[in-house]
Amino acid sequence: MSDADLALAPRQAVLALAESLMSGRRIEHLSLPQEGLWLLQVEEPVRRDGWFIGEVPVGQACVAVHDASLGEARGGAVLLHADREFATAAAVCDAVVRANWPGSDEVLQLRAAGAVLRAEADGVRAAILTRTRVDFSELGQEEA
Amino acid sequence: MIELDHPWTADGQRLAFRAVMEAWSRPGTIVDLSAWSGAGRARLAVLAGLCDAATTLQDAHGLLGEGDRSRLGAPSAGANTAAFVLADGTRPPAGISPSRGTLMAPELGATLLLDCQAVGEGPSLRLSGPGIDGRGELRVLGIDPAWWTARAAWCAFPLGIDLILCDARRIACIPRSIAVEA
Repeated sequence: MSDADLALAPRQAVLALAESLMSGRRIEHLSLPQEGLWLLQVEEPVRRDGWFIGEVPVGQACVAVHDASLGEARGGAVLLHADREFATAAAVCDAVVRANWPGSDEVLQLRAAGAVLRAEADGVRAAILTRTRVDFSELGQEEA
Repeated sequence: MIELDHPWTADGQRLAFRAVMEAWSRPGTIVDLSAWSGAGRARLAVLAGLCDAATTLQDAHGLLGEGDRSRLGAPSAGANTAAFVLADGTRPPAGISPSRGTLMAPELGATLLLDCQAVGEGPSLRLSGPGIDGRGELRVLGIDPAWWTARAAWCAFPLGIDLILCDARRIACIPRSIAVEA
């Protein structure tokens, strides 16, 4: 289970949890929450020329959560969804978990739910890749 | 979710940007940005509309708070290379030498934001050049006279710096192509 698994959890569940975690606390945006497309640049390995492989939708947020008694917790999120609201909610959840504040367990449960979805998707992808496997060994010398 | 206030709203930044463009096109004209500045001074609305991660900013006199500096998203750069330089106009320009661009790339000349006490009040400047019918006048209070000497040394069109004078609510722009008599 990784931090990124929260992005696979149900959106409404993440928003609702973040809303409850923000209750009675002051939220400060450390950077402007944004949504849009990132242009991915990679480097060609021989001539070292840079080229653009494509664009990915991204939402990102970075927040500080201020609690009157617990102090300040900071968190951030960069998601492969062009969804500023979801990124902000994920950043709030990230801040709470990093500071180990009350509510961390609920965030970890959502991450676990996301991890289950990721494992299922990985299984489906592995099955598809297995069917495309090509055996390049010489005839009569196939691997057992 | 969390609502953002001016000058960080998208609509506010767009409107502030249009207002700044209006000020650029009519050098010496005073534009009121208070509707989009929120609780900050006009300089913050200007920077919020012009800066992003693809630009660089030098806060020469530490006028921006940590939160505002972070939200602007513009990487820091030296005063001689930054695309935008923010400075306190009441202090002399000692140690500040903004980029003037090059003949091959005059667009690399910096935009200098000078925060002053009041735009539209105080001693009069006489302006002339493109965008001004004949001669114009601009009153500015709280600018160290050394800035005008420095600007004259920096500007030799097409090289030079573009100047935005800011107070709490208002701005006025003086492009590098404008002659200023203090």
